[in-house]
Amino acid sequence: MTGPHQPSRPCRERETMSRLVALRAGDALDAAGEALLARHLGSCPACLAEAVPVDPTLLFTRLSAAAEAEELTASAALRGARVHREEPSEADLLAADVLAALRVREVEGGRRASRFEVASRPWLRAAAVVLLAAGLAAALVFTRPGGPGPEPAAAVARSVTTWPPIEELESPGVRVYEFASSKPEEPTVVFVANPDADL
Amino acid sequence: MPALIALLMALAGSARPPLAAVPEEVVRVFMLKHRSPEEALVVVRPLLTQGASVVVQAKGNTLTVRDSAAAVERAAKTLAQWDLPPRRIDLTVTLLRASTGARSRRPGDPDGADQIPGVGDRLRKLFRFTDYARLDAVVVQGVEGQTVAYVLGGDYRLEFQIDPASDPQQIRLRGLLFERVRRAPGPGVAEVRSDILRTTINVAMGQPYILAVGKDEAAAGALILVFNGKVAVPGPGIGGVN
Repeated sequence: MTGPHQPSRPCRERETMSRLVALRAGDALDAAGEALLARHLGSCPACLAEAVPVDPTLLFTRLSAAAEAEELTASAALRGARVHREEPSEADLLAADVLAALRVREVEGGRRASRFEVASRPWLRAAAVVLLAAGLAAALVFTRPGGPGPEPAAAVARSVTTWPPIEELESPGVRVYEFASSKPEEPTVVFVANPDADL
Repeated sequence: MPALIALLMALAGSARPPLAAVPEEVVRVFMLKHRSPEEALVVVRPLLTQGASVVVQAKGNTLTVRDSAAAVERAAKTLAQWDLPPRRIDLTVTLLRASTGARSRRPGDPDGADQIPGVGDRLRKLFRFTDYARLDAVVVQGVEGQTVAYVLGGDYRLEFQIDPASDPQQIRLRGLLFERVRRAPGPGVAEVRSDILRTTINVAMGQPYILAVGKDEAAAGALILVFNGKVAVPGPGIGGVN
């Protein structure tokens, strides 16, 4: 547990945040608690590192909060305010590393190739592994290795087992997040980050 | 000399390890009702042993398999699950535009995500989008094997093939193409299409499936397709249940 980006000692709010994360995982967190949690995780890498393996969806929350903060910074700059841009925080680095570990497949030149980027720091690697193992909450997306035609083995595997929610992504450079449902009535969610998508 | 040869043969025989039980080979002819034997071969081949032989007979729409009894039984079970008549599918597709900040829907319009049971809560838990405007919703009625294409919300186009699925609890939408459609400015070309997503998805029957596309994880906006599929049952009237 050493390294330049290792989180510092545990936060004083750790117990409170752990409780909020547990409540959130149980769908019992109210809006005020949600806001408190998001605000705190946006500034506390130690709590974020503990929270994301428990509830990987908090990664999106964190990233969205970071994006909003950047927009505010940008708008402040436009108004002539003095803007101080800091170096990337540990939270940013954590988010980037977990995202890197989550990245399953990047398509280059029309040919899909599996690409797992392993986090460079051991504690981040552990977080990523836990994150990957949390299949029900946020399983990593899968795409079949591919040639032009279907592999017979894969075809049979699909024919006798339940197929994954998404496969055969053909857009280059996409990242895919799959949030499998934990209850039968809960929707399956797949988020595709595609920088080239013409939205 | 013959005695020596007999002795050597006996010794060679005794040095040999005991023979493993050779699995009994059986031959079975599968008559396919709804699929072609070529398709069936693709499904069956990996279930068989290396010594198996398979004969495809297009004329009688049959597949003849020679292999161990266990392997043939595996093939039989799989084919029984797979060789099914194409199902009629009703698939509701809703297109939402998610955004943060200002509302993109008209005042008074309900939130598009909340109009689909279970979807609004799920999206709000996962993402930070604050507004979900419903751009369009269609009910696609098709049969497995068919390719369908729809224009959604005027500016988007969705195309996919309803692929035959052996799992009765899933609908496979193969070759799903989600495109942006723009009217061409000049004469000659009616419209210009650009890709948003090309993929294949597997939708669980009776369970909403949310497919969101954004530029990146922190994007302030995204397009969201919500699929909800079920097997169509005959309605009232001729051939109806009631």
